[in-house]
Amino acid sequence: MNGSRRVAVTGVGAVSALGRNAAETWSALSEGRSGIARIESVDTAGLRFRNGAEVRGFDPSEHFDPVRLDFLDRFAQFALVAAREALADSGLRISGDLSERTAVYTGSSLGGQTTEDAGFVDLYRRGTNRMHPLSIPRVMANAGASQISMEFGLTGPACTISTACSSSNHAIGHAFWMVRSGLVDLAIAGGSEAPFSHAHLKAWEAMRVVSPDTCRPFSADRRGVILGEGAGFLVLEPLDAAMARGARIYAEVAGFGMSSDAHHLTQPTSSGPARAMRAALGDADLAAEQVGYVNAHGTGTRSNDPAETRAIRDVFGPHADKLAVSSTKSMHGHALGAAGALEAVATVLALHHGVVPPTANFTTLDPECDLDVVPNEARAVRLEAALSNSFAFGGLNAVLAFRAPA
Amino acid sequence: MSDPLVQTVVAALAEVKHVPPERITLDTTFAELGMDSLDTVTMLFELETRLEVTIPDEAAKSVRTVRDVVDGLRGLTANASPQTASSAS
Repeated sequence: MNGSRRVAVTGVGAVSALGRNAAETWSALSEGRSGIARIESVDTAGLRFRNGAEVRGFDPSEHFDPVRLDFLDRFAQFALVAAREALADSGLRISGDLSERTAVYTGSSLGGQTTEDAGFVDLYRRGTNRMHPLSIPRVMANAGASQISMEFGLTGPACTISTACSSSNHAIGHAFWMVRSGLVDLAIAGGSEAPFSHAHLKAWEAMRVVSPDTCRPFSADRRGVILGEGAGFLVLEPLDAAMARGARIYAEVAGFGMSSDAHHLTQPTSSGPARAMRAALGDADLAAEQVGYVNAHGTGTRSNDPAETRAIRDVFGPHADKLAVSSTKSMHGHALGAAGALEAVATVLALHHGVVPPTANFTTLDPECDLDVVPNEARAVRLEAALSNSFAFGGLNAVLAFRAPA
Repeated sequence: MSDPLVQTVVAALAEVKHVPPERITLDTTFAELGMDSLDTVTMLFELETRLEVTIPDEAAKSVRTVRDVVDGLRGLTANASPQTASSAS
């Protein structure tokens, strides 16, 4: 059901393996340049994989004073830096009544787990018998939302959604609904993640889904995910308000759809994702034929990519052969709770620039993934609308629909 | 089934699937046990712990039966007894 207001994206921010801001990130995305490299922040000597998509050259002291930094895990640092960028990009200065009418929605799967891991190493291995007193406020998954609220004095609704790899899409989708329905007049929405700790990488190793080389979504020889980190944030405001103040409108958030597989903790279905995509199209009042691009969940695992292909074919029918479908995880890695947010930034900028970022590292087509996956090179396309898919472990699916600005 | 390696594999599978070990033989398939992908990685974790080996991802991909697992582990474990590997009946 549509609310009465249309919702514009008027600010974007990103921190990723591709760059320290949205411009650098888009530059790499539009050139098909991958940020996957040897993992530097964790000793990989005892790991079965060596590569990841880490944020490089990020110096926290450039962004935060030492007192502030004491309170910030890496995932919250990313959230603040990307949210600051998005807000500055929007040109808005939030004050007065608008502070109470602004929502903050963040997604995170893991919270401050590098802080937790370091604390546990001290406690268990070094036998310190104590944890740092700031462990709890650093680790809590809502630290990003709280820090953004405090920094900008935002006193309206604020919360964090944690649905593994769909976290950010759920966060942005709910924020969109809040703005569309008139419950708030502005939202800062996105997500952040910092998953590179020894224990967390060992846990992924045990699942045997991490690629020993790179991430090749939809390729016949794909070998799994490459973990990534970072943050993405969007500023969402009513379209009429954005137009009235002459704001730059990157795109509209047109719809949001969710579903649950109710099937298995890790095995994907195609029916659940298909229902989420249909729900997003319905919520957006978009016909399948209006969509020109799908930013796929596209993890590069054996299981996901064929299931997602079937889901896309189910939803789009013959139009599936006219769609550009790419997985930007081939470049920024799988940033888990931040994945949807980085992919939302990619999708919004694809609509803004009329350029579809490619699926990098592509080799040969898997017949079970027989879509136009925009192999290796970006493509200039006039786009009317686009979807961005996120499908989480646990079977929780969240799909955002975006429309190019009129 | 006196081969200790076979016994270890059967014990690991019995623990993962919560079934009596007597129901598992060399010819039992993963399909018969209702093994899915999470069960398989949990079995590999159990075997790595019990046998103190590291099982590479690639080696783990093609196993479909208890026999596949035992045969695969022969190459990884120094203390396996090779003479029982081909006693199919």
